[in-house]
Amino acid sequence: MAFKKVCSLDEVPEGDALRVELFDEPIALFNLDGEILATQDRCTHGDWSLADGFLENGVIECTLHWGKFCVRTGKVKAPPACAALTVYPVKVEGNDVYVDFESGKVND
Amino acid sequence: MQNFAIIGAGLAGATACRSLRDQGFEGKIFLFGDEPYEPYDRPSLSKSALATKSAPPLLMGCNWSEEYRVEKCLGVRVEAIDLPSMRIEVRSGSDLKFDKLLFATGSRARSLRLDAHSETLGLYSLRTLDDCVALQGAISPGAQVIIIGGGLIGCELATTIQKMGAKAIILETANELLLRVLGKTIGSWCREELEAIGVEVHTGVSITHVDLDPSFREVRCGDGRRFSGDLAIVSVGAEPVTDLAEHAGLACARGIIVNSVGMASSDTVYAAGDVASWPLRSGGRRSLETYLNSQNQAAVAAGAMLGKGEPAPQVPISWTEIAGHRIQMMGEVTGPGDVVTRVDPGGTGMTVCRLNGGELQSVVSIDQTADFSFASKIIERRMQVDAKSIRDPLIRMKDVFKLAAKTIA
Ligand SMILES: Cc1cc2nc3c(=O)[nH]c(=O)nc-3n(C[C@H](O)[C@H](O)[C@H](O)COP(=O)(O)OP(=O)(O)OC[C@H]3O[C@@H](n4cnc5c(N)ncnc54)[C@H](O)[C@@H]3O)c2cc1C
Repeated sequence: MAFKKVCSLDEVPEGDALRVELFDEPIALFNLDGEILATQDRCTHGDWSLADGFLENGVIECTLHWGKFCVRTGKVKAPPACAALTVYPVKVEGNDVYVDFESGKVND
Repeated sequence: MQNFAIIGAGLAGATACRSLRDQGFEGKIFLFGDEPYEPYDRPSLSKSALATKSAPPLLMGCNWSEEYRVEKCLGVRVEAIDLPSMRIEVRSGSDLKFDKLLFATGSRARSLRLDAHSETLGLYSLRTLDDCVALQGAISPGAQVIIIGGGLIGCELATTIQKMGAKAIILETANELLLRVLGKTIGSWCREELEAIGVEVHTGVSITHVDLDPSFREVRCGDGRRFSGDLAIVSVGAEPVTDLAEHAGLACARGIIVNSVGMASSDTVYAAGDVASWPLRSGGRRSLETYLNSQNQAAVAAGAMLGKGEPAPQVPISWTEIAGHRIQMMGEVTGPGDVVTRVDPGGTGMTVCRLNGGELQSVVSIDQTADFSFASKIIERRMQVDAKSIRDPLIRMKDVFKLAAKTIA
């Protein structure tokens, strides 16, 4: 369990996403009404960045083939994607956002 | 218990199976597909599957038919349908009684009209996995490949063929590539990009004769020009597979005519995907020949089969990969209003929008997936946008969207 600071809170405004390249895998941070969530940034279908995608009601839509994932659980919400995303624990302290990359997991 | 039959195990057929169960259907589902393969990703056939000589990705997980309780009949062609008695007949001579029927038979590659002395036997086309495997075997590095038709699939093929170390020669009848789907600006941009990767493009060429003698393979034009190569692929569009439906007496006109929930002439028969001539949001109807519209139509038609279809007039949406560029498009490219080109200040991409009365009518993006993603939501939701910000490429579509969403709220 090692939380690492990845960005500051104002880099991820509400309803927005941020791609962070600090670990072995790029991760995407999402701000859902003030709550920060983290998933792998790479779409499991087309090898594409999810942070550029369309975020609504907790679901991110990949801009490449429109696969959708729940950013809270990582689960697939629409094909052509069929494998879930890895999700990572997030901690916010003051204006700092921390992610525990090693504790990432895939819900099935 | 009700029996639902689905003819065609491509994207629309597979999506309908999933959707029927997701929406709570408890009866039996029979899925017939004449290709002897699990439902697979057709768009890959002209792209990664051909380039890497590999199999296309499958559309469903490995145990999907058990999971969704689907009686899957693959490698089985439906031969006839008797609507009055609600029976379908399969090759083996057996038949099945159905309560509801969904046509998801897709489309087939159109063939060329040639003079009577032409040989067509050795001409390639690309629609199915078998076609792709045949091309994988036929295209070797150094080969000269003639592509007849410069539409989406022709241009994708040219891209892939160059990637495979062979040489692509596109012969197109119109005076620009991709005119019908992408319009003149993007069409000529694509031609230049294709030429830059080594593709030879000839426009205004109308093929009337094909000669396939092994030592002298050539195609000949009406005006006497000749082009020779090691093989020729015909990619002159697709036509909906409506034979069965027509024999069964259903109204067809380049597709089975359905309403905006996918219902054909009665509430027992539906169609979705390439085979359906489906109403458009902008008026009129047609078979859209796109992945996303097929998927959407299948889900809507599945709902309608269960008596809960929400009318879904379509807005065409699709993507392609040409000369290393990702192109995405939505809406009707031609029509009234102003065309605005947003050139990406930081890269090579651009987005071409058609704007009419404060509403975005169409968008075509090259290598601007983020912009496209938000522009497509603006079109889908018919949001009123600020024309000035659309004209300013420094303003991200994401911000145009956010502003428009705020205006609504
Ligand atoms: C090479 C290629 C590249 C493409 N690339 C793109 C792209 O990049 N983007 C995009 O948006 N779209 C693309 N498309 C279009 C997209 O693939 C189609 O819109 C989509 O596949 C339509 O799905 P469908 O289920 O309606 O039809 P299909 O996928 O054609 O499936 C229909 C199935 O029904 C079967 N069938 C027909 N008659 C019978 C019968 N009597 N009995 C049993 N089975 C039958 C057929 O054999 C076929 O397997 C591409 C198409 C091709 C061919």
